[in-house]
Amino acid sequence: MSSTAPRLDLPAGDPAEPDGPTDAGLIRASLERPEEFSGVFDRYADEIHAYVSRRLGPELGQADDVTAETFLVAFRKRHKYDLTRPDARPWLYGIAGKLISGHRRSETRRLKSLAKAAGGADGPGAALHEEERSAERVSAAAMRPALAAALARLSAAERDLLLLVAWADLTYEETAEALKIPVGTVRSRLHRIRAKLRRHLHLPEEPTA
Amino acid sequence: MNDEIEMVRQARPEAAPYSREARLAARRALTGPAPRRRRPYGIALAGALAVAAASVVAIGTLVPGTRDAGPGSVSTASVGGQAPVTLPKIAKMSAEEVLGRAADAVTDLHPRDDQFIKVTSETMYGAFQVSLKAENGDQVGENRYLYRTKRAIWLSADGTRDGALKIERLAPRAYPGWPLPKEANEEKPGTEWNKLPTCGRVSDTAYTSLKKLPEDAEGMRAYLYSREHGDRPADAAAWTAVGDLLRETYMPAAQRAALFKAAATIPGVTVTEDAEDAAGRKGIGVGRESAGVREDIVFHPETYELLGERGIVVDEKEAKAPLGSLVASTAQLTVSVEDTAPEVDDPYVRCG
Repeated sequence: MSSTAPRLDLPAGDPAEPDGPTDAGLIRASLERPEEFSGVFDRYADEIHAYVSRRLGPELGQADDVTAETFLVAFRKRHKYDLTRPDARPWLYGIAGKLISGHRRSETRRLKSLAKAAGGADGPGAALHEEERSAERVSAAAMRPALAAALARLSAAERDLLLLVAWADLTYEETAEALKIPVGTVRSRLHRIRAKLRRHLHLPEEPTA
Repeated sequence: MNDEIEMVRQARPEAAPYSREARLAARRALTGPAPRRRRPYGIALAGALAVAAASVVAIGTLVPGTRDAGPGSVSTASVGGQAPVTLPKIAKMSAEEVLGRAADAVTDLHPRDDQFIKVTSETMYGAFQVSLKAENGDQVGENRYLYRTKRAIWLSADGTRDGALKIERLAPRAYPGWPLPKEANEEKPGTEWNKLPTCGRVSDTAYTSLKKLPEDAEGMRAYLYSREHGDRPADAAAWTAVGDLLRETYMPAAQRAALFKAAATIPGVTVTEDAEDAAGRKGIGVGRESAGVREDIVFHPETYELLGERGIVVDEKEAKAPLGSLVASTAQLTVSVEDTAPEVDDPYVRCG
């Protein structure tokens, strides 16, 4: 497809795009020529897969399934895509997030097992583990499981929001778009989530500004 | 700013690799000529395949086919399926004994580098679908069914030539204890051909790649335990690795013998004498319980040749299906060496 890609009927105003059509341009073209949608897949499949695999873990091909499903859902819903938004990432992350929530049990299980992995003095690796727990390693080795446990205690919606920001590197605006909420709500929810994390992690309260 | 969000950011786990096969399958689902189909979630035994990084075989298990059903494709649309079979009886014979004999019985087809290994099989695996509420992602329903196929795969012995995969889709069956959902019949029985491109990379399950694996039980055991297994228990993952190495591949004799001996050392592996494969052949099952399902590899009772695999519910609650019911079943029907693989015209498969 690369060299013979059909010309897209882009809306006026998009003519000088150095990297080809915008996502919106691809989606618009795909309304008539469904195969154009694979261009969206090619752009973001790896990124979405990476995000999903971080949240669900590497086993059982769940990330493969959810990624495939994300693009299928997107493909089916492409008629509803807001073509004034050039960047489709937030939309795709929003869909992926919902599907991940469907795997909530496995995500929570994964977080809990991460929490357990370094916390316990049981199992054959315990001795080695204790040795590693020296000096500055403490924070790295011990914080992570505690953090995993704290993440597991957030609601699915809270986790979704937090991880879009922290793991998918979406801006607050993009996160708002992905979750279809106002950007002010993103800020206020993040504030609450941070407070919750502090509590679960037994960190000192934030000094009142 | 050293705040909680930064902390979460720094604790970001490594992303799992996206295998070329899974990526191609996902892309093809969007653009392919076949009717679009939701790829069922988490497939019991086959699910493990998707984890095996870049095993060419993986794509096959995930890709549906279309054409007439083969013989024996009876649609059992009854709610709850058949009467549960009896629970597997654990035999006194040790896994070590059975697998030791299996190791002694191995032969080698000695394919030339330019030849192909052809494996034909019949499979039945669970398909799981979860439906979500659009607003909040709450799970509102789950359905399950058993999807069945007949498969033929051609794999280049040295991994340098494109392979082929033929999948005949058979009529689905009800998952034990669950009604047959309408999704199960969304795709009509039929045949699909897939090209398995090498894309300049030799597959881990090519005969010549397998030949590089350890020839001794200890080395093979270390290999089984070295594979990425996320948060699954190491022993369960090692057992999954055994199945992955045998499924639709041809393990060279030395490695196969080593594999069987190594498999016998995995804790929790036991023997049952009343196992049966998807073709109805009785054999000896060597297996392990995982998520409420006993996953057996079935061997011929006299020659100890590999017959197939099966999954039987041993914990009703965990598996959410009746005790003793069959939730996965495969049969490896033939393994042969061929000079060529069928040419498949598959415009949707391209390299990266």
